[in-house]
Amino acid sequence: MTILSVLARRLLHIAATVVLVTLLIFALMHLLPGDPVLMLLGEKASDAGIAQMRHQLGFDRSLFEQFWVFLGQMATFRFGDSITMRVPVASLIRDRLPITLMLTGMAVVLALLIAVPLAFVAALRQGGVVDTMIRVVSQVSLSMPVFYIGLILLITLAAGLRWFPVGGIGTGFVQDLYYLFLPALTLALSLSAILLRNLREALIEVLNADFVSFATAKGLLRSTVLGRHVLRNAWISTITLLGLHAGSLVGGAVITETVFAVPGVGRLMIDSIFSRDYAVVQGLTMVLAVMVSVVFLAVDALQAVLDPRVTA
Amino acid sequence: MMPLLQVRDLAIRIGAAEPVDNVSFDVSPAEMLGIVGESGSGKSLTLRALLKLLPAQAQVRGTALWQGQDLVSLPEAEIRKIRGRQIAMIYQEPMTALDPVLPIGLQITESLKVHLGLRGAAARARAVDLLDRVGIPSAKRRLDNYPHEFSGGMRQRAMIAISLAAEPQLLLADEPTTALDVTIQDQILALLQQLKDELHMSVILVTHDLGIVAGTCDRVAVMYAGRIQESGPVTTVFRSPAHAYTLGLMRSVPDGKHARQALSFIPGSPPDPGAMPPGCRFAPRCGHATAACGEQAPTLRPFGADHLTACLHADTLAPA
Amino acid sequence: MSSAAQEAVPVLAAPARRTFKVPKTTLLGAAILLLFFACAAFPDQIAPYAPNKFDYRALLKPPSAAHWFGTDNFGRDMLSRTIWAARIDLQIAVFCTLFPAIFGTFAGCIVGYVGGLVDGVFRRIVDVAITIPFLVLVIAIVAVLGPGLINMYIAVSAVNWIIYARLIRGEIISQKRRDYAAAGKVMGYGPARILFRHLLPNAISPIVVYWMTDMALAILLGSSLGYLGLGAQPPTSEWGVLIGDARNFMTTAWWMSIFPGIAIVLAGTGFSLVGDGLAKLVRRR
Repeated sequence: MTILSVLARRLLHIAATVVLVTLLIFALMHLLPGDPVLMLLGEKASDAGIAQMRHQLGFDRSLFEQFWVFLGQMATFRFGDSITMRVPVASLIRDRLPITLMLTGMAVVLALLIAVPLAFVAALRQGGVVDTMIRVVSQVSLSMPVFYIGLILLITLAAGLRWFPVGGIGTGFVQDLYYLFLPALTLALSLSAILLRNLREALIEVLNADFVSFATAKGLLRSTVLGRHVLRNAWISTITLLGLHAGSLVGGAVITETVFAVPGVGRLMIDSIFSRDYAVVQGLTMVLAVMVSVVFLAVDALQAVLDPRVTA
Repeated sequence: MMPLLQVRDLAIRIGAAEPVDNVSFDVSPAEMLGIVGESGSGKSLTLRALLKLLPAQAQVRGTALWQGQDLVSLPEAEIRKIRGRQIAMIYQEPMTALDPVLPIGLQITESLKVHLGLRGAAARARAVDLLDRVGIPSAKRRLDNYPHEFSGGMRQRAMIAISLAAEPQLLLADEPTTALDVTIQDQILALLQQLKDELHMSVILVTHDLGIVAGTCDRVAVMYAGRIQESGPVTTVFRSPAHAYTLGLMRSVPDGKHARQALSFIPGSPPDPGAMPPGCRFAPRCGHATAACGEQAPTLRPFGADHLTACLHADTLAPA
Repeated sequence: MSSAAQEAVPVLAAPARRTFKVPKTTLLGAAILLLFFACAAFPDQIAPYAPNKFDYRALLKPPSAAHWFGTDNFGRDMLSRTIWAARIDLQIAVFCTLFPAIFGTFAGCIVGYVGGLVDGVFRRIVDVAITIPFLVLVIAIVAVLGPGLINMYIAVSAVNWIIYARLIRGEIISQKRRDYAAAGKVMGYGPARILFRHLLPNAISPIVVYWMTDMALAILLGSSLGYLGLGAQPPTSEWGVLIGDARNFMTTAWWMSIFPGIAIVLAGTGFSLVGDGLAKLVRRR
């Protein structure tokens, strides 16, 4: 098996899953209470208008045909138009997606910067005072909802100390980094709490593994043993963990954008739900599912590169 | 001849447990010493203590004289110089003892770099040489293979190759064949003996298999419940055991002459390391035990030429 | 055996079985949960004020002796409001997890035992569930059904059962390979009997442990949705809703947001600690 064949297999799997996701979204729209046309047009629509829309959207065709058309639309990112904003959903998403991607990207980097060193320290000094402190802090942070972490940071660092802006977005890349720092930190703290716990356990397991003992028995420096043998094996666990939590990362982004009024896709999602803009909700759910799938693919690729046993 | 390694009264304490107590033995140059005992008798811990590979909570007492230095009291920086270079160790399960994400070649050359200062092409050439020597075919190609791409026996050979990188004078082998098929076992043991002769290297072979000890070792130390109960040349100890435990072991080996008879075995099981009995630790299971055995821990005393025993009743034991 | 052996040293008694010592952290967790349970059961006894009592003379007052948690923009005592909200949040913890646990266990048992096509279908369902982020899926369902506590329970349950089902499926698959399962078949027991009377009791412990942790997660999710306005609706007070109501006063009256949040963290920690204790108990067996 080569890396390419691993990826190809994964890609096929993802494509199949995305088709099923489309089916789910389709089902949500059509099988749940409420008339989708009424939902799209609003309750004040005239009968003629309803009939016309129905024909236009192809609701007079069989369910199977409708799904086929729907699948085609989703695949080509033709999500229809936003009801409230009268622009194509795709363009709305296109404008805001980069912001969300930047937010999540920063969050992942920050989370790794926080969690990896702390997990190392905790694992190396297992049972010590530092380890206990780290575990207590991590336990408490796990019980903190993302929005609460955001609120605390907002109240203390933004409003209180005025180190950062309270919300919104800048104009330009560097300014964006500044505006997105607190939201990214919020997300990162939440993610670190989860990563820290699992990473610490994984590291302890690696540290106690026979091959670490053998490497020490070879007479290598402690720093070589840690840097070359332990770290390489630990990265694999880290990447796997990140992949597993891709979903909660996206969910956290939705909430964080709401707290800090960041104009990304997360905020768009919430706004659309309140304004009953189902076309946007539909398209966004699709896009987010694809995003998560891409993360899964990337994780698989990284694992194949780092771990020779995968391609055996 | 001055022994290479002199271990005296080695004891290991982990929390409330005393898994190793009062262990003493010698190893001479180019000699294979077998330490034999059941699982949990403390054999592996003893080996690890020599190179300070025990977890931090373990407390080690006693001395282990190696070329004038006491391994037990050496600081970490000093013992690191001895590890791999003068004393090397191989483990029981090569699949878990080799780093799964690094190629074998790298695992050899990193040793070569640290101990012999070899780098680049010179290091690779020597690595190929080592793999050849341990009997791995197509050595040059296999340098870049990963551990999971080797078969069980080949992995063990690779581990031996890694440990020999710096040509150590003593090899600690912790049950190196336990995880292997019987036929491969033979090959690995033959390889160890061959290397011992070629490199003038001593080996401490830890195992629970009496047959292996009988077939390959020069001298043997019998360990039970953390203590050396008897030691001496293999033929002497196995033919005329001077300890009730050794006698029990010898008797439990199935013998073709006594077919269709009940197998004899030693009743009971080894004591819990946290609750060792006073006096001789084998006494509770011993058919020859007397009250004196339970009072004070017997120490190794000479019993004939080059034969030590810790049994108070060595004289009254019937031959195996 | 020689006569000397008859004076042999007495046989060593078997070491006493180590009884399970409840870790201090678990006791702490249980104490916390007890506190919240009391708040939920007897809020009128515990809270110093009525939760909806307006007091125009004490608007937006910071924490003081009279009002430990301060007051909100209507003069309502935050401590009392937080205490009264406890019953909603505990309700959320139960209703978001009970149905998924029961249905998920049942479904997972069947999937794990029957295997084959049924298992294949289930694995596809799991694939879809992990691809769409949990929160997004719940929000999407709430979007269709409309905001509200009951709809939130439906939305969460519709997704959450999958996790329990996957958990027990793994356990059942490992148990059904064991000898006692084969023995049951040999004895002629029907599959239902083998599955529910024999395999399930051996497989159930990870479910119980996860349930505890899940209740903590449910409070996090429920309060997040409450904060967003998609969960509990006014006038029902829930910790997340309380924080959401404080949105306009975040910087001027920090106590309105911070204290209900502490309640969330504390409750979640309580469930997690008890869950960890259960996990340790299960591991020892």
